[in-house]
Amino acid sequence: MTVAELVRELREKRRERERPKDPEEPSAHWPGTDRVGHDVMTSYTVILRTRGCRLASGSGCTVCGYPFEGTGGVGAREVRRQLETALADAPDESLYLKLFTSGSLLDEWELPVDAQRAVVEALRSDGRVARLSIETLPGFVTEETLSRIDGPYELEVATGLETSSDAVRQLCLNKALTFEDYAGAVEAARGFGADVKTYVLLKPPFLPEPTALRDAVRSGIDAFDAGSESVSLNLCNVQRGTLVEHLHRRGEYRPPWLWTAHEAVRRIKRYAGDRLVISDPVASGKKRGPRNCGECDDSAARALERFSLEQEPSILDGADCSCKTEWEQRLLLEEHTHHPNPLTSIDG
Amino acid sequence: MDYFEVKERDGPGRTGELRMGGESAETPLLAEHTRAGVLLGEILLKESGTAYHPAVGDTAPDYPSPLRADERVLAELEERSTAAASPEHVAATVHGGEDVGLRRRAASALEGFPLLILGSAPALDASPRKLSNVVPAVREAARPDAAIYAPGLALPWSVPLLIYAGIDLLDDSAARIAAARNTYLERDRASPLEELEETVCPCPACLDGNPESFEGLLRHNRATLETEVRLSRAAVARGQLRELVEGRIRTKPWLVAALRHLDENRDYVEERTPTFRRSEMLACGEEALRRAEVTRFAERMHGRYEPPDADAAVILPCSAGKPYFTSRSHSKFRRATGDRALEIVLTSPMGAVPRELETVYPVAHYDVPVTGHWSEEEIAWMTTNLENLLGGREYGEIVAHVRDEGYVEAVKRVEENLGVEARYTSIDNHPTSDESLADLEEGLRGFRTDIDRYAEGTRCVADYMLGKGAGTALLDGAEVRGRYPSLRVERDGEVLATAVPAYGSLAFTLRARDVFPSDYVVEIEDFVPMGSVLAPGVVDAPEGIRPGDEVLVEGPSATCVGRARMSGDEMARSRRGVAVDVRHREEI
Ligand SMILES: [Zn+2]
Ligand SMILES: [Zn+2]
Repeated sequence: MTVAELVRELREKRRERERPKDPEEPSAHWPGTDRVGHDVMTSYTVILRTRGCRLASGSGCTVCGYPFEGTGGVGAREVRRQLETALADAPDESLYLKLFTSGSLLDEWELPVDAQRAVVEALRSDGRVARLSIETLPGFVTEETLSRIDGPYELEVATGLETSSDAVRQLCLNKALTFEDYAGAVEAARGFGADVKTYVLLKPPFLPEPTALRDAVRSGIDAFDAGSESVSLNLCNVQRGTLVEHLHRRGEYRPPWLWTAHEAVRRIKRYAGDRLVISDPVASGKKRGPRNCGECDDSAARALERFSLEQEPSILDGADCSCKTEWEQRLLLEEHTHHPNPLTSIDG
Repeated sequence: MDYFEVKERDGPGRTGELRMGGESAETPLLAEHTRAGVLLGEILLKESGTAYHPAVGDTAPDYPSPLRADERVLAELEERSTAAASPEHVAATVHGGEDVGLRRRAASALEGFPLLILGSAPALDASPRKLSNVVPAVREAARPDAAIYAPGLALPWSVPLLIYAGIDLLDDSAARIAAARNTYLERDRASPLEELEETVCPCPACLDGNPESFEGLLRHNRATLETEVRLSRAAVARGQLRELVEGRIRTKPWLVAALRHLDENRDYVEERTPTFRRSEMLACGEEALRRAEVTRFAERMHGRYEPPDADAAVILPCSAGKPYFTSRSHSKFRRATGDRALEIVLTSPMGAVPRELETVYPVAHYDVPVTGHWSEEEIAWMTTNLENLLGGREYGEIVAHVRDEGYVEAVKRVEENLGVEARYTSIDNHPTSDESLADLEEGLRGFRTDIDRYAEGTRCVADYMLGKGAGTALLDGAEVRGRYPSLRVERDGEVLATAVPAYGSLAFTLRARDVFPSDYVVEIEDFVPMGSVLAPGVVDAPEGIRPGDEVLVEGPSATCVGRARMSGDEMARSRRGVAVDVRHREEI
């Protein structure tokens, strides 16, 4: 059995248990604060419900649990409804709107062209949006697709590179994409005048912690070199129905240590200079999320969040705990043993 | 030249020498993780250069290390990553998770490497079934002279068993993780440092005061692991690794289960267990009944032993002194029986032993706690073997000169199974009382007294060593001289074989070359061996040869006789190591 087949099998098993979704309800929406350039802006994240990621309809990524967010029949009318509902709760000020789907907003297979246009119209008439960030796979980024969603706002294209190693992306993530595709998309976006934000994934399945750390740092650097304005480090968490969950259940996947995230962010920032390096530790401290010893998870996660806003490396130095010794030892051992959880019976 | 050479074998456990990059290390050993790489004794295994996985330096890896085993996806990942193992690598990782078929495939595909790393080894910890499936599979599929390194697996209590199972190199992962968590490791437990009442450990870190710093605790924890590795290495050299293992497994139920599972994989253990040696065999637990030495004795006895021509049989209790004939009780029995009967000794864990085989290994070498109480398993084992010994022919009288309930029970079961009746001569009295002995003598009155003990003993030992018929061929036209058990066989004034009581075997000379059946003939290339035959010089060797067996070596230029140091399979497949210690040679 191949990775691709196993991912599909696990997904189908999970999909049977999913309830149908309402095409007029957005998946989620919430307010926040984000760094943009040298400023801090009020942000608003909206996750539109669409047909779902095109990649996931084939096999899909080993880490991604979003395919279950998809639903059929989302057209211009439904998208308008979703946006209405979501924006009704948005703060009444100039907004940095992060408009995501569970896939690629620019993919007309996922969201028809008239629905994409409906989005732009809705934002235009709303008037609060000063900066729009949309999420898409690099393959859909062209001058033509970008002009469809252009409007009276700054445009940011957020794209999931995950790793700059094609081998890791292919073997560990099962994500059909090459670094060349990505670099081409960055060039197209910048040619259009849009900013690019690159997602890098910390700790895909099958990589030992120290390899994952190196891979993330390397990928961040490569993204900046390709022309990305900012890098967002996603800390892998265990999502439902994924290969990662399957491995996690068998004791063969541990989400990254928050210390590893600190280290990765620190090293990428050293290269980035003024460019933004951010990381939002989703599900931190949970068994299925990035974590340390349990005692220091909160403070380590808070430090990452503060760093993301202030871009000041000394914030990370402030976080410390006695479990750092164990983290250092595990980095050393995993470098040589390639196993995520050695010696679980040590205490028994 | 990088290589691994096996020196001594004690079951699947072994000692050896690993040589890499001009440095060498003795195994079993405890690898140390350092910033510079993994230290195997003096050998430094680095991440790059002599890399053992393809992730290089501070850059992203060209290939991921797909070592977290999910056997279902590993087939794909493994194929892609094996392509990345380049020739300059000195070690390669055997993937395959729990899938024994995948593990075998990986191990045999990587046969060029002197060092094989067991991928996902930590998953075998506290998993007796997985451990006893995976380790033998890898050892069997790999070349016999590939060292097996299992990183992230060793804990102090599991070290002897892991080495016995067939792992050559372990590491100090546990020492590090435990130290980082403030956990103090002892031979049989791990305790939080703050709960430790007192430390009895005499290691430098503990003597210097409390091992409270990370470094101090690491030093102590590593010393604890290191001690177990060294004890195991010394035990292999002494031929008593099994004894060490049986003693150590008591601290964790999973270890007991793992040894049982290993014993169930009997061929794997038996092939690697020496047939003749001088070490004492201690049968202190029920695991002893399943030892390869014990089951092999029963098997060879069943297949190769031809009892002397006697009309009566007598069943005797074993003695503490070995061989039995050296004990007081047995010299009294011998006077009473007067060479008139097939003599069978009931015992545990050997089951039932005919007098003729009392000097072979391990019959002359075992010790067992004697309480007079035998477990059901022991009684059943005695019954099976006694039945096999008596079942071959009809006896005019079967005298059971035993008193212990367990012995009597075994005889009763045999009586029923074979439809024979035994005459009990020691039921209420002590077997060595005058009354009992008189009874025994009375039971055998009138039977022939013409069994030639020396000749019969020699014939049966030769059969036991080389197969049925070897003894008769050996004794044809020859005579047995010397004082029992130090006998020798001579023909026309020339020695054919000499008994070696310490090893429980016969040492043959070239005059006995015709005695060797093809099962014990090793074919070598065109050269004249000096002190020993090395494995690369072996053209072919029969599969049935075990370390310790007497073998005839034949090649275009020489014929030799000697003692096998490795199994026939190992001789045929190894690139290094002594295959046969040559005793006598003749140039052609
Ligand atoms: Zn902590
Ligand atoms: Zn100590």
